[in-house]
Amino acid sequence: MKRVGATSVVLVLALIHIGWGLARVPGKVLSRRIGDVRAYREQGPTRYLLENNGMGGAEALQWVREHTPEHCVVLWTGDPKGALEFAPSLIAPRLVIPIGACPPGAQDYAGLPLAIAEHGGRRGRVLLIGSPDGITVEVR
Amino acid sequence: MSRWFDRALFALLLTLAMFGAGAIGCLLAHVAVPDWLLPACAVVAVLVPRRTTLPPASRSAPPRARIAAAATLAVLVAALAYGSLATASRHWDGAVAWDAKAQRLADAPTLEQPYFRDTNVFCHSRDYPLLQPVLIATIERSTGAGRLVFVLAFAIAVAALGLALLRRTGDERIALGATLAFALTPNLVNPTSGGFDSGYADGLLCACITVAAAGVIAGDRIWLALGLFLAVLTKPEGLPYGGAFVAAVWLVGDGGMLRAATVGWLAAATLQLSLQHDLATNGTERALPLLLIGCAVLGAAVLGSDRWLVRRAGDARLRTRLGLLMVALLLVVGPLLAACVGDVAGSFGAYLNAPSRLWSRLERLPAVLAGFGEFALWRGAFGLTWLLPPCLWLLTRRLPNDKARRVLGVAMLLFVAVWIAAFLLSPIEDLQHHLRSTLPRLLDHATGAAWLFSAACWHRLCAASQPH
Repeated sequence: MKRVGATSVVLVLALIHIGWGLARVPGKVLSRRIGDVRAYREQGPTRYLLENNGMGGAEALQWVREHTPEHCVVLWTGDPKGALEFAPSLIAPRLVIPIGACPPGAQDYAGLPLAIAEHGGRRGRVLLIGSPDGITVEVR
Repeated sequence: MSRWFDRALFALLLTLAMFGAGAIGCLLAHVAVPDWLLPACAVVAVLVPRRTTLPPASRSAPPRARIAAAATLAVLVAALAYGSLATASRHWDGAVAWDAKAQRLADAPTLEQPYFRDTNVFCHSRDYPLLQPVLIATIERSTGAGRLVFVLAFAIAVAALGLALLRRTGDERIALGATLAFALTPNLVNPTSGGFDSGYADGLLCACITVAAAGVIAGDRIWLALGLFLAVLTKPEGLPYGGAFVAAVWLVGDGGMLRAATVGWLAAATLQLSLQHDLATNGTERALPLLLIGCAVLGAAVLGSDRWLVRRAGDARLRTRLGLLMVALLLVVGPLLAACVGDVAGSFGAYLNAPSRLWSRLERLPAVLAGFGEFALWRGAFGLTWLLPPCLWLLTRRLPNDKARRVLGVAMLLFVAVWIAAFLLSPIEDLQHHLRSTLPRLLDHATGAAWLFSAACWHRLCAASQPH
């Protein structure tokens, strides 16, 4: 008798779980997903990924994409954790290497040209500066 | 219908395993993964005969329930397909680690490019297993829809869970109910980090662990071997999870299942560790022969000790005593080898480079356990997934126990031990942040196993409550 009661309780709990899951389908599974996709398309991957994670630097990465050739090497310095983690996929196929891996004055790395551009009235090697809450770009 | 699903699932799993082995083999040989590899594996898998008998359903589900379940699953699959294909990954690890690799491999399906080979180049989690990125890249190159892999992973997990319960219980109602309960678990299907379409590999790993657990529940050695093989090639956690399954089967003492689990786990470990060594040494050293011998010795020790204990007329006390040693060995050996032959600062190295943290941080244990309660039962959006297994275990503990449920129960306890060790050994100082960002994804991995365990216990309870 006790077992019959236990199986009923378990059955009710399982049905509650299924009902709760079903109730969340329209709002969470469908609407939120559609909203996320819409926001991603409207903002673009760079803004969406950085700003949704509370980080700045979308303009910096956008600038790198617009002002450097696709097949080049971009230097970075600062904190590799945080916003900079997104840089390799958001500016792909460009490669991202630390500034220390490239001797001063070098114009290429492993057969690929270093990214060189003009920024703020100055021309030089493009450098991404990472911090936990954003990315900035400089030329040096 | 069930027979057709069983055949299709077998072909799919075999395709993935053959493709995984072939692709990793190509990467190890420093050649490009050919585009024809996946279709070739699929053709071979379809031709391999599948000998299994599905018992006729002893209790059918009403047609309306079947239609409602099929419609619900179709909506979930459609939502995941839309979420997967509409954009690239919309969450952190999906974008920074998994997509980045899949993107490079889709451009050129080889590791012989600076992104993978040059350690100066910023490559997030360079030592992560490559099955998911290379699979996505291969499908992307031929069809442009590589991210369908995420939907496929969900379908595999759902099919394995339902078929295993049908084979075990013969009760369509239990199989349908548990399948729906699993598929509707919010943390798996919500558009959140670690969800099936998030771009992370946690969905595929969940599918692999569900297949392995389904193999245990259905007594299907091939599912068990293939599930563990694919798990190791999918995510770093696959190595200790495989060890947990082998240790659980060894402790319970099921010779046939032990052979399957050991072969699946160690075959993949050999490939994965060799690839990690290749990446860590920039392709200058080959570790495959040595790892092959090492894994063969480990496999012989596991299987040999089991046979020795069987010859001693199944001395349960001796097995339990030796079990502590075996469990420790099997849980630690994979991560330890990965840290030694792979990247010392990589995913396992970062955790194991200061083992004293395990003791010095023991005071964190209550907070870790509280985190498990918080995320498994409340904040993690798992519904009742993690409440039912302990309750059902309590209700069925005095009933005659079967090997399958014991294996799965022990394996899940060992998973929890691995998770606790990870939080104590972690280089991340902020425990609350680590729990928040990682624990829901770890729980995802075993969600299918948890529902299989609950359903098997419930079936046992129902059988015991019926008059003879």
